[in-house]
Amino acid sequence: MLGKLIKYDLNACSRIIIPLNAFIVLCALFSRLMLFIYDISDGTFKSISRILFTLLIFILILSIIATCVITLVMVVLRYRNNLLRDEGYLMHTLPVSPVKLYYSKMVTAMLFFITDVVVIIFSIILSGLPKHSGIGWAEVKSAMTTFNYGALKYGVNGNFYIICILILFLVALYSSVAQLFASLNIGYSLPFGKGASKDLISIIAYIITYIVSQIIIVILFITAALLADFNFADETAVMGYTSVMLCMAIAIMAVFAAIYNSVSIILMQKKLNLE
Amino acid sequence: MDWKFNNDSPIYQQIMEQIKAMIATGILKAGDKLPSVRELAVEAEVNPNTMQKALSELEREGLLCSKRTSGRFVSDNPSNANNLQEEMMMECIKVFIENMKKLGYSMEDCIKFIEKYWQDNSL
Amino acid sequence: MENILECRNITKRYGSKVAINNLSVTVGSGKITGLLGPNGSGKTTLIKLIAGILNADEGEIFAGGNRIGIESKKIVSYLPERPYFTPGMKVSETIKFFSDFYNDFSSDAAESMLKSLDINPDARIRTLSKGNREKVQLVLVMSRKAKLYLLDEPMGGVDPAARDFILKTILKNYNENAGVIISTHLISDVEKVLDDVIFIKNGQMMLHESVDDIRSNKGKSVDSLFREVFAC
Repeated sequence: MLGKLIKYDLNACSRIIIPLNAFIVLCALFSRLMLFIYDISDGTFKSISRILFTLLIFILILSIIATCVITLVMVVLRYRNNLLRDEGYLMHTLPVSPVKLYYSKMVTAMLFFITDVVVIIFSIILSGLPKHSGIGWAEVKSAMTTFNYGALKYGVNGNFYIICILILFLVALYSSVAQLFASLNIGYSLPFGKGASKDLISIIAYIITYIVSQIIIVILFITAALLADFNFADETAVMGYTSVMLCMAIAIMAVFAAIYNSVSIILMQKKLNLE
Repeated sequence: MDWKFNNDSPIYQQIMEQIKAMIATGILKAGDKLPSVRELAVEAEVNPNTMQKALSELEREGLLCSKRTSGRFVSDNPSNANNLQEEMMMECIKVFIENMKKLGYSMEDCIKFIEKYWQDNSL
Repeated sequence: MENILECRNITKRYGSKVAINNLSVTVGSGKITGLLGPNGSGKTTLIKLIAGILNADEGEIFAGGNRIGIESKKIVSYLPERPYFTPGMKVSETIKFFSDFYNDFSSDAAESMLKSLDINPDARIRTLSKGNREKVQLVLVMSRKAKLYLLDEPMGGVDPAARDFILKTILKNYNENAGVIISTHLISDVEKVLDDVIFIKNGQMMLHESVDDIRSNKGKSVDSLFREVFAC
């Protein structure tokens, strides 16, 4: 059942996601083409291609920003419209637990965002912008080696560090999306407000949860720092310190994510009130 | 079959009356096969249980009979149609006479006007 | 005859307002029952509780012998008053959707009904007229071989020809092992099709009788009785 739900969520949103990402790749392709023309020509062609290259990079960056914003809006609206408004009459009468309904939205949201990120990184490389700015594979490799060497000196495995950052990114992404969904559920479960005011309450709920979660994070980190009795003068400890902070951040994000999951699911199971 | 229902009496009684009328007027002939309960219910836009009740009552009264695998039929009894026709006629007469009495006409007046109407409209 | 629906002492509150007040009702299978009451009487709340998109504060509901939950949703086919498909979906996709999630759904039945209504399966829901959209939803709901059909105001805002289609569809899909509950305030249209009626007012059941009994014992149609009982 979960697979079927995911299939329909993907179908509904791919009409937006695919063109957006395709456009980014196209911009990148064309800018790479311009770079190529620039390299092999001279005179007027050289100047024209340079101008077009700059223009295309500009459009590329705009479309990257647009894609991120549109994906976010789409994910939020899909959740709200499909589970909390009229379509909820269909979805919540399916012989499927609200847990599956929820995770279908989470899984597809993560897929969309990760796809966006991958496509964006790939397109930036494809566009020739790094090459144009003098960043080639050689530069990246040497930066990596320096980093790893430095990390090892301080007793930390550099690759592990990078992987932790990646995991933190994913967990934080999940937690942020879950936070949005939980705020929507809160806004749509309270017994007052009709229509647009439920959206307003959701926004307020989001702001409140955001503030509260930030406060908690700050408190936890300060406590940890105080407990660790840290001596900033000691160089070797810095890397160790930051990797501990990384792991702590991952744990905190994971706990928040679990809380948001539960809030959303419980509200849909017990306090569902479709208009 | 044209079904019309009003709000006054139970639907199953009205169904029975209309089927009787169809038998009396020859729309349904002795030995005719009836459509299934469900088909009749859909056509008349009434509850199937109601239709079933009406048909069972008519069976009980001997106007319909059901053969186990072949369904329901109008009874093969030719006097049924005649009896029904008489019943319906008596009902019309009763209503007519009561109305005439209310208007203050006598039996002779009624007969005179009936004959005149029959002649004028060359029936 | 088993009971297709059993509500025991149901209470539902919205904040301080009591929408359903200690209501108990039993409906047998093979019956078409009308749920009648004025706006705000609790009809829609009761139907939502049975459909499982609302939770009762007190009491229990059993549909087809199952407590309301995933198992009951497998055998309950619910037609709400609202349009409930993603507007961008094609009609053919909605058929696929139902057949993906409901084992008792017949795509063939749905397709042939839509064909007889001249509705293009490739049309997107948002391009259909309101009447056609409602017909699509009705066709899908009735193409399931469910044990309990819940129809919430199936004929509101629909032309007379469409109303005939709806009643005929309901009658054609009738079977002795299933129950149909129609919630409506357009009683005269629907009265001939009902076995029983339930009158509901202020969240309480006022009456649960067969149409025949009302007509013979009280000597009036359900429509007239309704006007009496619910006179302002």
